[in-house]
Amino acid sequence: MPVSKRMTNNKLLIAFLVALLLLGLEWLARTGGANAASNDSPARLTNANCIMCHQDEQLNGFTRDSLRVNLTVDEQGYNQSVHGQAGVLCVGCHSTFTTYPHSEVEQVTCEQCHVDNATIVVPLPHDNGRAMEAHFNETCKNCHADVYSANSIHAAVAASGQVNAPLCTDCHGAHEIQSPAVPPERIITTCSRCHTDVYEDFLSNQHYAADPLTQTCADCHIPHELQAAPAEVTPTPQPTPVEETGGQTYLSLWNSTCTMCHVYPNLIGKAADTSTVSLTVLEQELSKSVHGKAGLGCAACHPSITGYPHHDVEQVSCSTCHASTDPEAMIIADLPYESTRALSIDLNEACYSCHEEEFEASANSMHTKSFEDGNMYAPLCVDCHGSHAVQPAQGSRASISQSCAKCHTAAYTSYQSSVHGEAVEKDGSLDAPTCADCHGMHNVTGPGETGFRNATVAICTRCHADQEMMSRYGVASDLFTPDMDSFHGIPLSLFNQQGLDQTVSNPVCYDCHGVHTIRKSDDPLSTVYPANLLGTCQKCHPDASSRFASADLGHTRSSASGLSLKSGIELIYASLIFILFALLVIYILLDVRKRRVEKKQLSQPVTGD
Amino acid sequence: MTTTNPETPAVQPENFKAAHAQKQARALHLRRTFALADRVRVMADGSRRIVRFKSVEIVEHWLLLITFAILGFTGLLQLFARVSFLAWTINTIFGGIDNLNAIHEVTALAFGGLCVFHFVRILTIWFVKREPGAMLPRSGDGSALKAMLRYNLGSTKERPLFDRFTIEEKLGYWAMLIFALIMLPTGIILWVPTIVTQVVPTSVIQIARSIHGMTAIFGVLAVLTWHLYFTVFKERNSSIFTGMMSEQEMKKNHPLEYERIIAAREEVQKLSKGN
Repeated sequence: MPVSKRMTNNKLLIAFLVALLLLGLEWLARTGGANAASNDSPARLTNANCIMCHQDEQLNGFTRDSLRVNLTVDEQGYNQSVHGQAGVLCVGCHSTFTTYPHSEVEQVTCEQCHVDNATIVVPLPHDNGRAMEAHFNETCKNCHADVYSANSIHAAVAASGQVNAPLCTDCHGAHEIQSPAVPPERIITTCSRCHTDVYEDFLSNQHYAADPLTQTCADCHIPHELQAAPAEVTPTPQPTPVEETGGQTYLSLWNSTCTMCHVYPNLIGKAADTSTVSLTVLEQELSKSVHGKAGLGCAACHPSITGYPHHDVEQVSCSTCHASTDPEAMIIADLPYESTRALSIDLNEACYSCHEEEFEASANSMHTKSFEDGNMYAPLCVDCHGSHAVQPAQGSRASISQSCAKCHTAAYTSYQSSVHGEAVEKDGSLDAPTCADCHGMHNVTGPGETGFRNATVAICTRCHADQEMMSRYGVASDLFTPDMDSFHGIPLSLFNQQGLDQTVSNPVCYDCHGVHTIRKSDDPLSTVYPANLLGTCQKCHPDASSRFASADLGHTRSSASGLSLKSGIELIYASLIFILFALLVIYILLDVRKRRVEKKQLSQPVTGD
Repeated sequence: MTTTNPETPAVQPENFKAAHAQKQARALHLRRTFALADRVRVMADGSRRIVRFKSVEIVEHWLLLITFAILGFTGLLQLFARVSFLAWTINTIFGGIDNLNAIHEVTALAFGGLCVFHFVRILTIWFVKREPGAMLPRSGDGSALKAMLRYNLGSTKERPLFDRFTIEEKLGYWAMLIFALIMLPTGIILWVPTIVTQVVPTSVIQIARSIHGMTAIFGVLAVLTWHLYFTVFKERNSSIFTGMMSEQEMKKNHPLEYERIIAAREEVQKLSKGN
């Protein structure tokens, strides 16, 4: 049998190697001291040279991210490892080290180690521990180029910048390297370190149940070749530039775990109604968001996701991802939702856990009412604030209106060309209103609601009666007051005072000046521009003449002559009436006085009698 | 005091025109005399009361009272709508300024109708009944006012004697008339400003608004002071509601009219005895 013959050969080979190794070790033990003495020798470092320091349990290095990495090597573990058994020297893998202490890379000096017996901490030329592991991992290729596959899913994940993508050492170990196949359970436990729930599934799997010792992950997922892909398209197109992923340290391990899959631009979720949504998370976006800066992990907003792949909710199975060997192929995962909108609605609930106040503020808003009326497209938190790119409210003022524009396009277009919109978007004014300044932020009021109409004057006067603010824009602040003396003004002040929920039939500011299209009165497109005024008046006064339109309403810049005529007549008439009334009262008082005198005269003779 | 002697010699047949005029004058005199004498009513207890107002005048006063009160209330509420308590009244009692304005306008129509009716009645009195109209200003009015002031000031002990209307009543009536003549046109301007401004400049609207408001304040104050003082507080005069006045009141306030009535009654009695 050729198989048994090869087995015998292997056994013989191993026995020979072990014998060789034992000899070698004895020789090493004897010659180690001599080599150390003759320090000037450029010969390769022996393992004893390395162990001399690296057996010290207090030997630590710290990487550039200031995290400590233990540099102790378990000599016994190494000797028992396949490398140890095969007589591979430390420098076989750590080939950059040619002397000790490692002065050629200038990290270690004698003084650093020999100051006292305290913990030895040496600086390492690596960004972090993981980078160091990746660095030494490269040397595996020197011997194991045949199994080292750049096309595996693990290599592709690593190429995408995922620092947690498995390295050789993650599966095989570093110094205590063992054959992964002995015993077979080792394979399962190795894979399960990352693929936790697959492991749990697998234990209840019929393959495993049938023969727990022989069936392992590797029987289906060929080691090193996992989902092999054509060599020319190896690196998956990256949504995130590599230099950006360098700043990944802000992300918790959790996030790295999630983004292991969710960086793929081809990752698509499909709801029951066949609507699809990209499940790709742009890390760059997330890192610049307020949540990213606050260090929130994915799970903060996705609390229902507790494992990966998400087997707990049974949307993801092995074949979901691994159906095709083409990395460009769409990976379509079934979502446990009716529609992608249902997904958004469900996830939106997570906002409540931190933003309770805003949730309550929006409880009576037009948007919430619309949602409660069955409009599932009524805006959720994420519709205005964004999901992964969530920005603080005090970001750009223009962005407030722009987020409204996602639905209210027509209103936004009108607003954009209005005096307010231009001030905000072109001049970057901090005073001019955005949508939210008039309509409210979370407690958005519907423009058709009585409350909004009644509050109009209060809304406009908040700025337009502010003398200081108006002077900045050369707008008169005294023309427009809540109790302005005009035909339109008096009833308005009436409604303002009471704030009753009854419709104001009298015009409010926007009835004449336009709703979103408000422009300066000297703008030829303004509804109150002299040439357009008649049409504006005729909206309510159909039989208005051009002369009617030119009437002084009490808050236009009054011409001196018109004012003096009116106030002159008023003054004369008022004084006339006052004099008349004074005379009237004097006449009555004279009569009262006379009657008293008469009464006295009448009563005197009576009392005299 | 008869102005014409019933014992006048018979008219000359050739002077027919003069005779006709004389007949006419005689007829008018008799009609007035009978009318005056007819105004004495003997009550069940034997006391006499004088009929002072016809039912049409009583109805007119009632209508004026009601429309004036409503117009004054609804108008002044609108004028001072900025006062928060009044704003509350407008919103809760009237359900908004629109309702208030509607009431004001409907009542104004009734008031205008009343004014027209009154004007037509005056024309009838002048041109149909050919009565002189006791409310018309006379040359004696000025001196009567002067005399009243002098009496009230105490510079004379003689109280001026009045006929059908005292000088206060006359001033009150004319004030009301002028009030209506100001309020009605300005009110119309405010009601239909768009139509009005097709003819007149827009400043008229603002001026009309000021005048309407100021006159309203004056009118309401004048009624509350002048009218109520002379008809209620000074001495209760309910003749405009009952139509009747006691002989005592007549003798005091309208002595000349009372004399005329008594004389007419005597004349009528004499005529009926002669027959």
